[in-house]
Amino acid sequence: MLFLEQIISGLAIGSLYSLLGLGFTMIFASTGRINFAHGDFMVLGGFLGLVYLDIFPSFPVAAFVLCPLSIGVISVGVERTMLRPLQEVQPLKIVISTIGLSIVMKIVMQMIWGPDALPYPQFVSEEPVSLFNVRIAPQTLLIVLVALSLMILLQSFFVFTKPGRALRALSQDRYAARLMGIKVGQSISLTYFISGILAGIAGMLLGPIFFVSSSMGTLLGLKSFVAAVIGGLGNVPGTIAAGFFLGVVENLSSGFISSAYKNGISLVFLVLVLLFRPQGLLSDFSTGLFRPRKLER
Amino acid sequence: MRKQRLLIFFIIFVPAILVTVFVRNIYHLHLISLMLIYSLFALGLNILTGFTGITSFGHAGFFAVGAYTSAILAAKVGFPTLLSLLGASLMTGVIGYLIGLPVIRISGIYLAMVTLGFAEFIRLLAINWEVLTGGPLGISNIPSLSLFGWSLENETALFLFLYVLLVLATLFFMRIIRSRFGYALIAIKDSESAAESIGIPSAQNKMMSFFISGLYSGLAGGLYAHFDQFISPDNFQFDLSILVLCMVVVGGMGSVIGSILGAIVLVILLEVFQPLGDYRLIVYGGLLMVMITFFPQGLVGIFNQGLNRIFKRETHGIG
Repeated sequence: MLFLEQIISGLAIGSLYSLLGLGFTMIFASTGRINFAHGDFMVLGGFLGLVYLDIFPSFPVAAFVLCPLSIGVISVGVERTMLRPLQEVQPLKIVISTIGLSIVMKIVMQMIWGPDALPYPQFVSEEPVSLFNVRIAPQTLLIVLVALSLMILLQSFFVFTKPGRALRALSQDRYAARLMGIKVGQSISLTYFISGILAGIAGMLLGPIFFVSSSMGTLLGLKSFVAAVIGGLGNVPGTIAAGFFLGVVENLSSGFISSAYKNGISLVFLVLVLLFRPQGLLSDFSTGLFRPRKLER
Repeated sequence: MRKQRLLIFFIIFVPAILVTVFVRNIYHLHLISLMLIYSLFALGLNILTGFTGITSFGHAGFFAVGAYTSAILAAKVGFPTLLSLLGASLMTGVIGYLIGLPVIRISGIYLAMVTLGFAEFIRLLAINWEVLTGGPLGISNIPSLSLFGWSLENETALFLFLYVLLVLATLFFMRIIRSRFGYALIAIKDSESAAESIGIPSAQNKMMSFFISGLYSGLAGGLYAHFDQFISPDNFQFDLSILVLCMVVVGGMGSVIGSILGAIVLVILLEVFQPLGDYRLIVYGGLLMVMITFFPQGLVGIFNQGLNRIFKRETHGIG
């Protein structure tokens, strides 16, 4: 039963990768850019969540609503002030400048909240639930459930609503979308807003398991990026599946082989996928929701 | 022509003379030597980022390969340091060439991520392959540089050696850039399909560019190992890749002098902000953002613009 337990806790981590990876994938689909600071938005979400939990101690749901919204607003603010003026610069230069942003955010968070990991209150009981002899921590269950429902919401947003359809159009062809009367600038801001919300939620969900520390953003962001690449950058269902896949594989390998190379595994995957299937493992399964797009240098 | 030669002669010799005569403080000499090593490293990244248009987020990996190769050859096998440096440089060049293999299929951000993965892989290898690398404790008894049995323990002698090496490496670099191969790289950077359509094999040239980048970065890494006499996996984290990227961006992508300038400026800045401790990293971050947004040509670009404004010269563009 240890095997199943490993898989389930892997799914919990994987759902975090998926939530973050969705941010990468959506921003890539609508703008062709990579936001290297995305992982740090998640960490900021974790810290802000703590602040809001302090303000509303008896009402954690308020924190769960306010924190993602704030991260969404901050994300849009960064896009408007910092990234939009760089519109015409090469995409790689934008990545370099978001690396700069990531470092600045990390240091600022370290200045405010200190370098150590901060403990997080538990939202649900710590007593594991037994299900067919498999012991599951309720927090794990919570994470997976929240993540899954968010993904379903997001998917229906893309399929059934007008702004969602606009985003899909934008991801396929920016100029054609503009010709059809889609407000490109607003749609891009919307993408950043949604990805910020997802990052904020991921930050609050991850707190009770890993705690939050200012330096954790780069690695988590990187692994989520790997998930997005494995799923095919710009491919929403692919990214979700790949996030879960990566979390499970990573957990199984550190549980049964060795934890020394735990962080290396996702990078090995990244290199292998890029070498043999640069369009992503799951690109054949995308149903045109967000078709992967090739990034020009 | 004669005048120009005289100028170059001055540019090369005056700093060396000034430093040997006036800098007496061991610590300052140490910093200046560090600048020279980082200049080599920045040149190594610049041939990729500035001239070929490939961004690497994992040059710390190349630096680490060079440092470990040279350290192992000198400390464990007992090679003379010049030979171990040569070995480190070649080894890193070959590994660079292998890392460059994926350029046949991928480019841009994906390639940058492969280099990032490579650097992380090298660091994990350094931590876990204890027999060879000493594990997390690193290698601590690396001999200092010596020239044919004459040990360069004197800081001024070390500086002069590094200086001569940097001058030679820079001249060689300029030679490469002004060659057919160098022009091919610049053509690829400007437009890969246009370059291919006039018969420039882009994958081959890019891999060669990776090889040269490896040569320079590995040499810098090897020098660093002998310079500090101690290396551990902690020296080669992501921060280092960002530091060297920052040097290239701040100095000016695609400018030889820019790389050296960037290395000098960043070593000075890191030293000035030393009291801030870990917070000084914010300097790199801020610089990367500001330079990319407002001065994409780097310090060299600012300098050129200033000159143009003063002398009312026509701008020829940077190339």
